[in-house]
Amino acid sequence: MIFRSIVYFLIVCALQYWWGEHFRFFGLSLDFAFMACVSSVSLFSPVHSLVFSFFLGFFSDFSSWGHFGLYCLSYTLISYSLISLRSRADFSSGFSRSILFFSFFYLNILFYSLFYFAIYKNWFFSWKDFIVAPFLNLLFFWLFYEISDRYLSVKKCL
Amino acid sequence: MRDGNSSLKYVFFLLVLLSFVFIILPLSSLVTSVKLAFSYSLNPHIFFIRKYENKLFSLPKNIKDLIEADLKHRDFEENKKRFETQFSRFEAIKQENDRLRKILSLSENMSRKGTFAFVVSRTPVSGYSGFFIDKGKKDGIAEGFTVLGFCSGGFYLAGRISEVYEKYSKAVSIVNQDFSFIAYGGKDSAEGLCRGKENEGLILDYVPSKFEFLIGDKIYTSLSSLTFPGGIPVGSVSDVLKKDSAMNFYQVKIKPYCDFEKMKEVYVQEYYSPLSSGENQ
Repeated sequence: MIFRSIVYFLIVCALQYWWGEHFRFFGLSLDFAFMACVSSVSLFSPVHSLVFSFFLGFFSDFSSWGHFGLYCLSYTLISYSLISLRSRADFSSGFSRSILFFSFFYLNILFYSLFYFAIYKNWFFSWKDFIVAPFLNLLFFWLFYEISDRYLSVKKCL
Repeated sequence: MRDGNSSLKYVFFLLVLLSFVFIILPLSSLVTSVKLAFSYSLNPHIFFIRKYENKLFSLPKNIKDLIEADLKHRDFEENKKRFETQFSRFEAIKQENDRLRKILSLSENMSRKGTFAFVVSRTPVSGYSGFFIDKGKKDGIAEGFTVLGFCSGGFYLAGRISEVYEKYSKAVSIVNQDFSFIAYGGKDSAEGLCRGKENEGLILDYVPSKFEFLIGDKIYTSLSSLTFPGGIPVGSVSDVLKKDSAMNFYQVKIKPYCDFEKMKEVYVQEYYSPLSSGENQ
């Protein structure tokens, strides 16, 4: 189980790096790490998902040029929030999953921007990240989740 | 269930604490090193270049020649820029060489003992009020020495040493508005008080109205001046201001021979004012 989640983690990291290097639309790239973070809440057990999200944040910190540790914190918080919402939200429905993904994507950007602003007195994200990026990532999230669920899911938790 | 919830909370707090540790600790240099190591080993540009090279081999010859010609043209443009920069540097070195050669030929005719020096800086407030030279106490420079500037192929009066330090000195220029000395000129060798007017040059004041000055007349330092030795060329008359005259005197405008903006080499002549103590002479 752990081995499969490690393989899944490596595939997501490689996809995030490769896609970011070769395919950029309007200066934006898909955030596969965030997609995997949200997907892991329904694919893995709660503790497993939390640790998985933390390491995804760790990789995102390495691949971005922001303050190291901010993505670790934000992904951990988002993962814990989604785990807490599992009893109240319908994770089996694609529509509710998409709404949750969209909402938490904005929360992630806002949290990161505010924290970064508090440290550096400068905005890390541009208007494109606030307006275009959530919709762009939402378009691909459904496909990403289906692939993860069908071929890479380690354990489904109720 | 409760155990599951409590373990989840423990893990959550642990990971949040770890994240804050990462945020607080100064890890930027370590992170940057790891990033560089990974990007060097996983750099896709090497892979891409190879792909483009393969694509070039399969192109028709005409298109390939066009692309190669464009690449060569870019190389030529870069080399051209580099050579232009080098050429302008060589020009400056050549000009300096010519000036120094002239200085060398003139130095044999110097009447007084002295030292050659370079102007290294001008006073920040006004470039005309003073300048710094690269010789100081250790080179035998002392306060009051006369500074002759090398301009237009000759040495002309430029200023006087006002402050001396170990390796450099400060000179006040003759066009400094607080500086004055006795000068003479014209067919009658009339004397007057020469005062500095910064970028407007010099004014020869208190010229007796019985003496005539013409435009172009040469002005020299007077033998009665205590500031400079006599007979040093100062400048030429550029205007006669008779309408501003007061009582029996009038003023004459002088254009100094020295171009203080372009002056680079100077000759610091030993001069001890007659009023200074005998120990200095």
